[in-house]
Amino acid sequence: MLGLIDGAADYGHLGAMGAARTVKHVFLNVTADNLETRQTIHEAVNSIMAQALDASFPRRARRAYEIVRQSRGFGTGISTRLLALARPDILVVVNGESVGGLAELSGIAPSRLKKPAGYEGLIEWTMGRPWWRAQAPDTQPDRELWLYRAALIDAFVYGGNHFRKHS
Amino acid sequence: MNVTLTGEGAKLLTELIERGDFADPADAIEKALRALLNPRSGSPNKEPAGSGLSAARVQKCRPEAVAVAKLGSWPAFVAELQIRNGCWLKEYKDKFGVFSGTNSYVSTIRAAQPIIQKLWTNLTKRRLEYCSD
Repeated sequence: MLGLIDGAADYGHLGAMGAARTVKHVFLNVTADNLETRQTIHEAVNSIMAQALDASFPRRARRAYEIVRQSRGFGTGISTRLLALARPDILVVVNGESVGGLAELSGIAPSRLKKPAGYEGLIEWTMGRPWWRAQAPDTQPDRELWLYRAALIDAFVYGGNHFRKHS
Repeated sequence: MNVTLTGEGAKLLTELIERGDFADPADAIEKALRALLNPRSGSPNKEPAGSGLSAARVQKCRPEAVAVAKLGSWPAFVAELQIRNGCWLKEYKDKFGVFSGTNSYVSTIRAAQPIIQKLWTNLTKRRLEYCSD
């Protein structure tokens, strides 16, 4: 998780970070530059943590995405992973293995999905889906799935490369 | 394939869409036709996750299957997740699932929540120690 260690657990879902050396360096090593990068990214992520799910949410999430992506080494996949882990109820991961399926689902071109405007469009598309607009279930485990419902789209579009390598 | 609906059928279809069972008329008609053409496939809910899955079901683990996963209502969404979960558990020998298995989306998101909410200036390589402070 963020390159941090947690025994034998595999956190490859929503995009593995094994090859993201620059990003792992930011999280694992305490340097002045890394602390500044962490603070910038964390502020961006925090800006959407308690944000209400109203019409302004897609634009605010787009802004957070733009800020995170400006940091060196934080590409589309890593940036959207952090955001989706922060708000799995509404945010989706866009990476090389999922972008084709997301484009097919949403009707937004793959090249556009990776850009801030396309990401904003994807959030708007998500908020318009009947399954997303459904009321929260009263009982578990459905309620937890509902809380993570946007991030779980990945299960329909992820290519499975990480799992094939590690199973 | 062209489909002509009776007045009663169109009314019922409208009710189902308004109830959130389908994304739109095309989604509803496609699912109905699929059920008619392949009645054995039935509702995804009828097959418990992890049960003996057919080759066709395993194929649904592949991303191209998104073309048939229209993700209409919440119950349909959950049913599709159950299918994926079963496929993945079988394909990855219980190591990776959607919401069950040794590692899953749900366990990953759960693990991320306390980290995301903490101050990142304190992050160290020993996540568990960090999270318990």
